[in-house]
Amino acid sequence: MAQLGSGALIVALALAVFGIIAGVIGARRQIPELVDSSLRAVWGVTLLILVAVGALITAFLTHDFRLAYVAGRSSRDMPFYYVAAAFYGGQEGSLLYWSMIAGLLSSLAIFLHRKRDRALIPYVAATVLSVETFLLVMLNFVASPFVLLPVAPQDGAGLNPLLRDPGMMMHPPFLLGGFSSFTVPFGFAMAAMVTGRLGDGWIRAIRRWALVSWGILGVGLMLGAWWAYHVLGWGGYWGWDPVENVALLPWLTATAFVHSIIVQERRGMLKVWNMALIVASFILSVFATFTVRSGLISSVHSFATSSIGPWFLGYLAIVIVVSAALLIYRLPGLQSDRAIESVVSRESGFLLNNLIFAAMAFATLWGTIFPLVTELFRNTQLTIGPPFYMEVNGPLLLALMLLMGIGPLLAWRRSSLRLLLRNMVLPGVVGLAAFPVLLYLWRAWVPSMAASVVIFSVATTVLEYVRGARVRHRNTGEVYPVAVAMLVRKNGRRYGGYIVHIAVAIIALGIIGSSFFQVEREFTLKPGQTGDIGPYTLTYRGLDNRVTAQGQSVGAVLDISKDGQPQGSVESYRFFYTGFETQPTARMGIRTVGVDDVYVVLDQFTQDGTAGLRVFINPMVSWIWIGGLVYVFGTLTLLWPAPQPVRQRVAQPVREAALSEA
Amino acid sequence: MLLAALVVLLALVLAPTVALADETLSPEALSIANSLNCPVCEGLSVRDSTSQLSGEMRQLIQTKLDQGETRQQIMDYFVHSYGVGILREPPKQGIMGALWLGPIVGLVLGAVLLGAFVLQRRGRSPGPGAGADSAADPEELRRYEERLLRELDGLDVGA
Repeated sequence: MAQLGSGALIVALALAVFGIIAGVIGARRQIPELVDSSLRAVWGVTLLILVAVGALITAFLTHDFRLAYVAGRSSRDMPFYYVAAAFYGGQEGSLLYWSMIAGLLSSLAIFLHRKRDRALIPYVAATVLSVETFLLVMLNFVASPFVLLPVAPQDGAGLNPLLRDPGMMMHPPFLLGGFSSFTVPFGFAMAAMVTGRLGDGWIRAIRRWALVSWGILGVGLMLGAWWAYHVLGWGGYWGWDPVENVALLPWLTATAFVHSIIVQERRGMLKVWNMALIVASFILSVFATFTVRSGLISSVHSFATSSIGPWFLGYLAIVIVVSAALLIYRLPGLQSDRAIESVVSRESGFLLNNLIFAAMAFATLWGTIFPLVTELFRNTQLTIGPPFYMEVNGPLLLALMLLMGIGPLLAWRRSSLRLLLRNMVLPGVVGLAAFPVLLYLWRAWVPSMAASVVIFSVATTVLEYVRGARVRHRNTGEVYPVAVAMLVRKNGRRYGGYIVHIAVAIIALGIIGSSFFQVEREFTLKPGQTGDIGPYTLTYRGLDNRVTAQGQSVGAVLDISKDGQPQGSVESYRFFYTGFETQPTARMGIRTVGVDDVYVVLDQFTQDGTAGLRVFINPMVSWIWIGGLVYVFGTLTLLWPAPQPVRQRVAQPVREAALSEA
Repeated sequence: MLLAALVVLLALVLAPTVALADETLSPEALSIANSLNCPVCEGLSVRDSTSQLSGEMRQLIQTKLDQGETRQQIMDYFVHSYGVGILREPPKQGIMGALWLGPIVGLVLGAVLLGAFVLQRRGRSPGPGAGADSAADPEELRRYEERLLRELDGLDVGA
């Protein structure tokens, strides 16, 4: 297996290098055969990487402990799904996984666009292959997953206990997949800049693929939050840990991009900015992969320290220099076709949106690398904790929520201020009416205000659906529910986008509720004793010790009642895996009662069954997960192919602009 | 039974802070613990960390509170022992000022650039607008719906 895997990787490297040369020469000299072989090189490289992945997974499943990577990440007592998942549990495997996803998505993109974007495609292939070349150099010579041990051990060391969790089966693949998927839009951006074909041709391709990356990465972040909430046991879901931050960065720039690309599509503006955003998203993705995997910044994820750092830094430097040089070279071709006509317009709304997203990305990056800077100059160890990020990003998020409520009401080119205000009356009234109610319920100014702003933007979004449905109803006679469904179906880009807006609003409400109204208490209870927290009474029933194939677990069982009504029970676990007894992990006992999560952490326990428990009441955290599901649904509607008649119309120049300019 | 005893014994040896019955912390102690960084773990506060050192620090905070020390005195004590990096929210001065200044400078700079971009571009082409600022309200609403109709351009108006 090891020979098969490493053989596939070395052949893949050779093929990738050949593909780059073939693509570039084929495109320059216009030799279609060479271009074709570079496209086939992408598919071939992907296939070879798949072979290597297959070899590695087989080695894992057959417990082939001659492989150092397999011996270091798995053991015989692990269930097969964790054994298979251990494949991306370490640095070498995750780089292999990264190159696999990049390969699969690029192959698909090249297959779909090979005819329509004929001029771009050789350079797309060359760019993708250059990314793969870098990864394959790493996988072959620096961080090979197929290194053999001189003597195969009887059993492997087992997987890091923190990774043995269902959340970990999902979170890293999505997050790493999100990072690597930015290879495709990056490929299109580079191809457009190299060929100078900066017109509209590549926009649709790049927008779609940027949406794919943005969606996958968003899901990855959400699953990471979910895992942290269920396993780490500090009652929260986002700790502004450096690794979380760097993973958020490409998502922020990509979110800015999926908004501002609309301006370029409709109005031919912001070309330089969009190009910079998509290249930045790719660079930040590579940076994020590198930060996770290098231990550059200390974090809860630092179980992955390694020596690949200099390689990644070098690669990042090359990408930055090359793309900056290309961007400057193509500046004349990236001039805006049109000018902004009014400050009150959809264009400036999007610009403001981009400013806020860029500011959030900048602030987050700044806080994350600040300790590195101070360590260089001052030799003091600093940890930038959540307060900084929350105080900086909180107001920016609030501004974003407000903008989300106004933006959809703005017209392209210029809005009549009076009409804008008129359209804002109803949502404004809803938002203003919510404020005193929330203030009465919560008795706190800041969260009530923030939530009112979110409710205002929800009202705007709902009103947009109502308006669109009314127009359809009037013109086609469809009943309202059908009209709404048809809006989403036929105008997926607009009304699917609004679904994502609603998802963001639900998540925002969840964040507001859980950050402002978390209650925490510590209890030391003997079996049978009770403890009160808020309206909840917890009755501790005792410890539940179990021996499993992987080790031992201890669970504390508690009955929950609210205002005297029983609300079920929870069990909060600690796991002691064989070989990792000094690193106990946990699974929190979480019970959702209404909007509250009763969140129980088993801190300590003694022989007589006394348990030290930390209990949180986390209001509205479940909204974040619901919002996450809505986000997925909205993203899928955005990506769902538009029905045929609409696609033909979209292909024409925008009618509104043509009409009003006539 | 033996195994269960073994588990408990193991847990006793390994559990981060064993002397747990002692850990009855007042809300004030928890709040102070939450404003300090755990010195040996990454990114967690003393309150949230399960490390032994953090457990000892929590006890120390409680002891100091019981001895009548104020929040400020306790915080000063930890800053004296561990440096200003121990604070989860360091004072916004000195080098930490630069931390807070960064995003503000960035945002202002971005806003200025954006403003300049919009104004300069706008100055270049004053062209007539698509909106109808002076029209009467019903007229505006009609135009809005027309615009929506055009934007939803998958619809056949006559059908």
